[in-house]
Amino acid sequence: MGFERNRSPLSGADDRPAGSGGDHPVLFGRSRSVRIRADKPDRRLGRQAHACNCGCDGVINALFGTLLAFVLVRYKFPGRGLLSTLADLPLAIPTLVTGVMLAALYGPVSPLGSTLESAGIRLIFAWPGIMLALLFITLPFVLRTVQPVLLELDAGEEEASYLLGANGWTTFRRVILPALTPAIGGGAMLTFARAVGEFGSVAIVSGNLPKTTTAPLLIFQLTSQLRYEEAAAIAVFLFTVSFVLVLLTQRLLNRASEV
Amino acid sequence: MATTSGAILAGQRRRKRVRAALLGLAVFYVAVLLLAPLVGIAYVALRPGLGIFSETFSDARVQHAFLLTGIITICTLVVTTLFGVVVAWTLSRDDFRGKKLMNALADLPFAVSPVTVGVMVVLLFGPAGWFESWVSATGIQVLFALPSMVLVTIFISIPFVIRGVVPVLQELGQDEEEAAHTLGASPLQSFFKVTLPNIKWGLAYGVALTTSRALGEVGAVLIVSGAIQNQTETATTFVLFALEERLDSQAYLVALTLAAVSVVLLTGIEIAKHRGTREQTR
Repeated sequence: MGFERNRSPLSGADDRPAGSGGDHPVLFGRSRSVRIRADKPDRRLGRQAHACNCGCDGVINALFGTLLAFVLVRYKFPGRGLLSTLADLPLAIPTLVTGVMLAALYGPVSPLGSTLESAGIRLIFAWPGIMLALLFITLPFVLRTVQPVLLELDAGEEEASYLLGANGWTTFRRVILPALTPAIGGGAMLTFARAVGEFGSVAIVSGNLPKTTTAPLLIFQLTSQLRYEEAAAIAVFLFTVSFVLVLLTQRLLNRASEV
Repeated sequence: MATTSGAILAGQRRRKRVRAALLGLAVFYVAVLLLAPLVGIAYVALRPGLGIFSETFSDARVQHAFLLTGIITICTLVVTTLFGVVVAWTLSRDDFRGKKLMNALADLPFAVSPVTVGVMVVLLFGPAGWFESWVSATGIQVLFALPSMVLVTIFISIPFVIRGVVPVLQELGQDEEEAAHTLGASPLQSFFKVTLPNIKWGLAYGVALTTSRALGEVGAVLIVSGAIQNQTETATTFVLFALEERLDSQAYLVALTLAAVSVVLLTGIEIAKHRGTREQTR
């Protein structure tokens, strides 16, 4: 009884401003198998682009997460507590709401979005929007793995480096960075694992076009068509990837804390 | 001598410039990435005027969605708090074979995509699933009904209480508990009078994180619930479908409400964290 869906959740995007002729979202009805086969290369492209996106997300997060950790640990400034609290915001905000927030800000409904639109820049219902959502959601990961390591770091080594005539950049590169590397790497891997499986925000900002269908979105589409075997296959793959990543991260962080 | 102090001064000035640049960059990044969308949703949601509040929240569908989210959150909180404390206790006090495995398993939900969790439950309870015969024999509707929705939400929020309490218990050691035992306290007395007051901030931290996670869960709940209007539609799935159905202003307002609740929860999370670290260092 309950197995039929009265609505096709992610299928409404075709009448959105994003729909550009040839893009057909989820496929119901008689011709669905044909259509699915037809858009397969597109979907594969989507997943490759998504993997690439998650990789970029990891790298950007590694950079800015380290920067944030450094600023929060080393500098005393008014509003430090506020900045630290704000950095935890993604842990508390539902990811779907993150997607809605980004769609509201950069989508055609806001003045900013319509200005961007008329300038020919499309962020929402495209890869940049997904990228923004992933960056938002994973912001705390590198920060919170690097911060404790940075706090524990011996200030004496840095002072020695300065006294020996090294400038700030050399000291950072030669003294601080090597100690942080495992934590940064671990944080980046966690970021990647989280980004690969992200659903809520991506469901909103992707606009559900075949081009921007990520693996979790595909799983959902398959289950709503009752194609459970295929959904399970992708789910197992996804699960393996993130589980291996998390195991590697734990090992990396454990070794870092033992040294 | 003059040149040396000049060099030091120049170095100091340079460091100040670097500091200002790094600080500016960090604040700019957080402001653009995190604050701007928050302002955006507030602007877009409240643009139609304050009348939208009564209009949205008097809608039976919205009320039902929030009610359901509330029920799921409360069930999840009760289960994960009780079992979370028990698991945390076992992990930090007992030594047994397979403890490492249990430790790793407790973190499993962090690694699994919520969508995957949804698929797992569907495969267990759905048509031709392992538990299907059992479920149909008892006559309980699991899939596309409340039980499966609570189940996946619990699965996803298991680690938070455990990870909030374990470090505190480890830090605490067993001295106080042993003292209570020696003084004749029963295990229950010693738990409620000695252990619980000590772990309360860690527990509060875990509970607050669990709440925000349970309120906001969408992927897994969507797959197991089917999001049937007025039956299995939660606040988050309502937002998703309302956007599809072009009920934009309602969707934005509900999203804003959820965001506001999470900001309140975040404040609680931060307070618990600070109190906890202060008590540990004391």
